[in-house]
Amino acid sequence: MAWRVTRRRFLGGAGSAALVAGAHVLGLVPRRARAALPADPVVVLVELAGGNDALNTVVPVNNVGIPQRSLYDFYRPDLGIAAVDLSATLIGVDPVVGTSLALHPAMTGLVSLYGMGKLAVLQGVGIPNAPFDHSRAAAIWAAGDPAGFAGTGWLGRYADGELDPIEVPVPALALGLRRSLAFDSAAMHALTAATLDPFGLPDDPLFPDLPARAAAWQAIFAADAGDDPLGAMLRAAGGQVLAEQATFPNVVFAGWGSQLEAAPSALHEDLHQVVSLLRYDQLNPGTASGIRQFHVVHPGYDTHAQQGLTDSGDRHATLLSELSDALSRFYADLVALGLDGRALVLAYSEFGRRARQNGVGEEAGTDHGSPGVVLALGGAVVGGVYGQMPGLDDLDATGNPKVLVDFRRVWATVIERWLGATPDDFLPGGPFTSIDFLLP
Amino acid sequence: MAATDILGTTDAAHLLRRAGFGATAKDLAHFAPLTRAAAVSQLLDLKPRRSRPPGGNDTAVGLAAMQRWWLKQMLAPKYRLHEKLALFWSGHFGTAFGKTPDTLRLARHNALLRQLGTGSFRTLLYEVTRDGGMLLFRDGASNEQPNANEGYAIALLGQYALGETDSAGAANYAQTDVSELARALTGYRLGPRDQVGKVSADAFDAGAKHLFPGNTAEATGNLGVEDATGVQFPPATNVIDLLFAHRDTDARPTLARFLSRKLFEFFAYPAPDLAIVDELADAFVASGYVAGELVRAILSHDAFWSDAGSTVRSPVELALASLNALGAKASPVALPVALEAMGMSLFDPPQDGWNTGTDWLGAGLYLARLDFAQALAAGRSGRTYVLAPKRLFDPRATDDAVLVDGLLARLDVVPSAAGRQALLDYLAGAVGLDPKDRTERKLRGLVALALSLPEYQRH
Repeated sequence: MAWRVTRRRFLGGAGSAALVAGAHVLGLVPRRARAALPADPVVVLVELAGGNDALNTVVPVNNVGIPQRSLYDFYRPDLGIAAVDLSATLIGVDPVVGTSLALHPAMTGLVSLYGMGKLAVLQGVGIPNAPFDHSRAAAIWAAGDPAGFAGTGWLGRYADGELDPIEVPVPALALGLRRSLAFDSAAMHALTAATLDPFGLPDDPLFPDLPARAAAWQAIFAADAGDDPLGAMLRAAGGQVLAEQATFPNVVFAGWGSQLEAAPSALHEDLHQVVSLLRYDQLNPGTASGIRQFHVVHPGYDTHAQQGLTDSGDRHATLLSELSDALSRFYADLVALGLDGRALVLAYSEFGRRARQNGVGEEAGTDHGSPGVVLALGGAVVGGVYGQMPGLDDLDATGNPKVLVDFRRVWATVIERWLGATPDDFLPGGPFTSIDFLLP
Repeated sequence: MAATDILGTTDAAHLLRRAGFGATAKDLAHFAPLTRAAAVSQLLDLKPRRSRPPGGNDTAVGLAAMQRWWLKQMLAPKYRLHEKLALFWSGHFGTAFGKTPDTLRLARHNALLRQLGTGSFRTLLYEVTRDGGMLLFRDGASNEQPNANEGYAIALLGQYALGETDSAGAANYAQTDVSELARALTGYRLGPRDQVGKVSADAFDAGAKHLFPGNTAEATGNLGVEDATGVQFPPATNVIDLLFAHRDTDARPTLARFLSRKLFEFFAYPAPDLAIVDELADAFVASGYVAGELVRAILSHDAFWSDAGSTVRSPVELALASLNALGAKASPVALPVALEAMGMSLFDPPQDGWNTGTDWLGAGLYLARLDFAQALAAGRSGRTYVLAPKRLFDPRATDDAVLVDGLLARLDVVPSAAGRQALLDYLAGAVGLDPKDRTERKLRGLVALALSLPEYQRH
């Protein structure tokens, strides 16, 4: 694993001709040095797991350009959201065909961020010829490679290539029971935790000798695993627990005024932990975790049946309401902390769902499909609607709207315009044209 | 080692670690003199149990009661392999409280896994297909003609029977197979809560379907599972049978390979050689797809007995093996909470199944293991854990090495030299405690450290 010059070192002198020239002398490819890029850009991946129904997330309101609304009503007699219910969540028109668009009525929080120009809605994004299996599709997004996952993720490769392992020993954190494949890298230094609160070594009044046990743990986890990859991984995981004792147990979660604290959902709780850690790092540079890539999962989007309003609630609306509310509060926290310019949130799903609803009445749902919608939120985001809503008059053989934007273009945009690196170094199959939701 | 050789303590411990939930001293004494074949037979050849968890109507109380009940079953020695297999099936099918908070239906579903788990896999697939818990979990109860939903169909193909891709990495089915299979599975309606679902003629799509074109399993016509009177379709048009007829790109039985690999990985280690998978798959096919015989083939295979591969213990395996080895007791309340923190909430697996291998390894989950280790080691209360160190250590031992090695042997773990030395240093107080201090407290500390050894997290 060869890391090159770090962003921090490189961009620390952004504007300095000497430094840029120095990069040439060293034979390094000069990366775009922009004053607008924050020093340690934060990426928060919010995975809407199960396959979010894009067509009920960004809904056509009229037939301008193409008869999108009529076809929507035709395909979704029960699940369709009436145009009158969309008047409060209009977000403008499709930039290509001019159809008026609205977010799901439950997404009022994100609509106001859209109005402030902080939310970008990327339409028609997906995997070319996507498999409709959850795990395969999710692995492709994480790998940044339609061929599938082969050991490293797109942000993991970026970390291997661009981040100094001494300065940033742990670049990434996945909250949940499983590691994020997006962070898998040669160095494998990403951290996985269901919760950071608490994250202290167990202490017990019965055992007054925590320091003695901590020293023993240190020796145990530092032991050489020899030629045993599993042993090495186990030691690394244990070592991470000890290493993070300098940080996580000291992070203040409650009472600092976070909008997310009264957490009505697990997504709120996860984002509360993320923003609390960012705040801790901001206030405690000496013991900062340095984590700048986060992955949280919002599950439940696999709405094969009873997707809409039923006796027991409205499944999809509940999910989108949680998402919208949690992201809005997260952004409000970032603004309050002055961190909104440093963080970029990307909400995406492994695939979208079929145009035509299945079932009838309350039983109606939607099956696995393509493509999806990606939401980008942040202080540096150039708000608006991007791409083109895939035409319901142009479905493919599986009854799905067509993928109009290769998902790698989203990742490429983030690498180039947010992380300041060269997308082709980390994404196979390029080059990919960046999308203008971030400034060039 | 042959099937007729005597196990001895080491192999007995290996068997019970992988095929059960660890061993008590009594277990080891019982199994050590048996042959490999006899030991496997003793674990496996039991009449399946009909017992079912307490479901009840109150969901919140119900889940906790069900979790306590299952842990108790797992700790009972006789049926340990059967319960471990039921645990496998619960992850295989992924049926989760979170999506289906109907404890009565979940209890019935769980009883099915226990009762049919060692028998014909075809029967299990059929019963699961019409099971009320599953009909809710994968939205099969909402699958009606003419607008079929594909929730159960895609899980049946990708997660339950064939797997998404075969050994060569080729997709085992196309999207058209998913939609055609979904049509064949239309019509199931939920029955009363303690009964199976039934097909409604109105809701079933009786039109022609075309499944698996180009494959040995290719079939056309009115495909389905059963009619409204409960009579199953004949094999040529029964989609459950077609799954068994499916062949992969090597012309091998896709289902047999898929399940053989998955079950071997559950009991032994990940990514076995294809030759091993094929030996197991052959035995599975030869038995007429009896899951218990596949388990016997795995437990009789040299690869199972070797230490060539290894994987991370699941939280349930870790916790119960610790209780068994230490002769400790857990409160029925504390244990499910600890398991949940370690990432394993019984009756509520992730939709695509329990974590496997290194996914149990995240630092946060490892920390939960350290927490568990300490809580167990500290246990003096019926409200948490009860552990009596005096029964673990020879009071006459004056040599620290005897104490440490005795504990390691009891836990059936071989740490690195540095790990063992760390335990010795801790006991000797080289890190600040009185070297003569062998108080109970310190012995408990030693147990906590031993349980958190990286080598102890694997089997």
